[in-house]
Amino acid sequence: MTQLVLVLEALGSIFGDLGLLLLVIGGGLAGIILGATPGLTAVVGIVLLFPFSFHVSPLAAVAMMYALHKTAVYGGSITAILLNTPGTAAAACTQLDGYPLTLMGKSGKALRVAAVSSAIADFGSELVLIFATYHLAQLVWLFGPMQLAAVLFFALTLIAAVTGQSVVKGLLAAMLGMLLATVGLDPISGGERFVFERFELMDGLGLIPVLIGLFVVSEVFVQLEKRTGEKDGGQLAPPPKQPDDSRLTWKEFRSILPTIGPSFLIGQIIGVIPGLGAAVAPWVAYGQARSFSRRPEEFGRGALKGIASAESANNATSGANLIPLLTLGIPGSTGIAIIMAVFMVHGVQFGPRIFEQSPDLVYGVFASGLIAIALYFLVGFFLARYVGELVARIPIGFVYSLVAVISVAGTYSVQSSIFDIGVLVAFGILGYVLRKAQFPLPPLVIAFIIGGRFESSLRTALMITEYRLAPFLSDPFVVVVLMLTIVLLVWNVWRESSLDRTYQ
Amino acid sequence: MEKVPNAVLGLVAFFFGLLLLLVIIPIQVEESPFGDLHEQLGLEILPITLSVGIMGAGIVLFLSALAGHEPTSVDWRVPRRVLKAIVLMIAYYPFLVFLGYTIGTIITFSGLLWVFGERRMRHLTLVPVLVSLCLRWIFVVIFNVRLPRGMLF
Repeated sequence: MTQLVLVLEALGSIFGDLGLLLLVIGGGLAGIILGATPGLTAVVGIVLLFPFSFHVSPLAAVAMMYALHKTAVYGGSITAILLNTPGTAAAACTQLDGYPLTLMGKSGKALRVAAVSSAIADFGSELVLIFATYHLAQLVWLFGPMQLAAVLFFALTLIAAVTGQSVVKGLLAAMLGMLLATVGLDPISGGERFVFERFELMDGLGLIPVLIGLFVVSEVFVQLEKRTGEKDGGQLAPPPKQPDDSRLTWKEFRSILPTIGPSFLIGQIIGVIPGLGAAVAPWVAYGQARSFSRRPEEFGRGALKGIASAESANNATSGANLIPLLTLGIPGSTGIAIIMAVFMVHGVQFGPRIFEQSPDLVYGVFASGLIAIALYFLVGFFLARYVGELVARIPIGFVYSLVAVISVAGTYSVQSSIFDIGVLVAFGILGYVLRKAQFPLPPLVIAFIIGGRFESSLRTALMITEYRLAPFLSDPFVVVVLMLTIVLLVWNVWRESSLDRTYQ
Repeated sequence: MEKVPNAVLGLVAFFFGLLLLLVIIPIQVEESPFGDLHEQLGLEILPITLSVGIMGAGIVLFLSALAGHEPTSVDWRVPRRVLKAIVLMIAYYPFLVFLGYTIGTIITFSGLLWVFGERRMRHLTLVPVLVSLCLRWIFVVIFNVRLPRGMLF
């Protein structure tokens, strides 16, 4: 119950501070629009907000970003339903039944099913986060540097193996990210690594230019490549004519409830696993809902249960993504990795200590998550069509040009360093090249962010064991984790080759 | 799947790892300030492991591409408009150094709008000026941040 009291207190503080409340609401609304706009994902929004986080309190920065992250997951469903263009990868599954309903003139009903199922599952996920994370984090006290290094190694391998289509490209991306994390002065001995006689590199590559370059600048190039000269935005289907077509009746609500429960559980479990999450969970939940349905033939033709399963699963991952971060310091997704970076630049330490050292921050973030859920539920239930109309009218060329110049100003604003602008552009080009070659970016970024922590854990463990590897192999926990890593890699390679055979 | 681009990527990864191991690490990873062997090992252990890992993954990618098992394809064609945008972003750097933020942003923003297909002169001239001045106001007045002033002004 202590957790509940702390969250209520945090809610009280947010509502008592108008500036903070406006930032959370602003972040939430921006998330809905970013999520709804194809190409402009939550990650782009969070990365663009990163430089501004230096100008507000740590709580305001993280609360705003978390609200944005949460609402963007939902926002993707709006354009998936109205325009047949999912705003996010997670919403691609919602599109299967959402757009057919729109074509039947029932877009209002589809949008309301999406809002209700998203909010219920997300609320459940937030409750699990609030009540379970503290207790799970206490288990981490049992970890020493050796065990932590093993867990981080496992998580990085997992992320590398599952986030892209190719295991080997995922691993290459993760290794490149970790190599980039070694640039600068070594924190243990003070020796220089890969500094190339540039004093700007002594502190390592800046998080902000690297992240903005990889995600934002490269996205400008990718969007430019996708453009074929057609008109901006999409064509909205006409609004519903019958009042009932917009309503979600009590009977319909009751019919989707049994779908929301299992889909929530699937989203929760997948969301906890680093690297998986919102893009995978809806497909698993959709498949499960379809196979247990009495009328599976309705799926893909406008089934309310189809929307409910996809939306509840993808939103259930957004709270679960934070669990590995707050317990082990492992980000569950790219968006959460960037939120982690914000925590880090404000000197916040992860693991069980975070609940004692920064309770205001942790419970403030949880409270902002609850506000974000309420916000997107209200917008989704009553105003989603207007968001769709807004997104359909967005002049994409103007938006991406603006994003490019804001990213440069934002990067420069952090350290007033022109060198950082060079890093930003270089990583923008690198990000574009990697995406063209189908290297997944999440393993690179997550390895870059947690690489330093992995290395310090590993080297501390090596110092303790006097640079002998035998003690590593005599620790049962480390052995189990390493075995799991090998099994996971082999399984993913096998899965990849069996998929390859299927396509051939 | 096309075999050659992924095989080439595998070779690039292998030679990058080799270059790291034989040239870059010996030059760019400093000797331990305390001359301690273990500490030196600590400094080098991760870069060396990663360079070997990159070489290994490069070989795997090369072989799996040649065997037709690599599930991803690579499209090396870069549209001219993307190349123009890349050149503009690279040119933004000297613009900022020599012309300062406001003028540099007007030129780059206008160029990006052009590349994105905007052809209306009013939009190509007025909008970049307004955007640049608005951004300058937001960063300088609200966030109290210094923006590049430019050597020529």
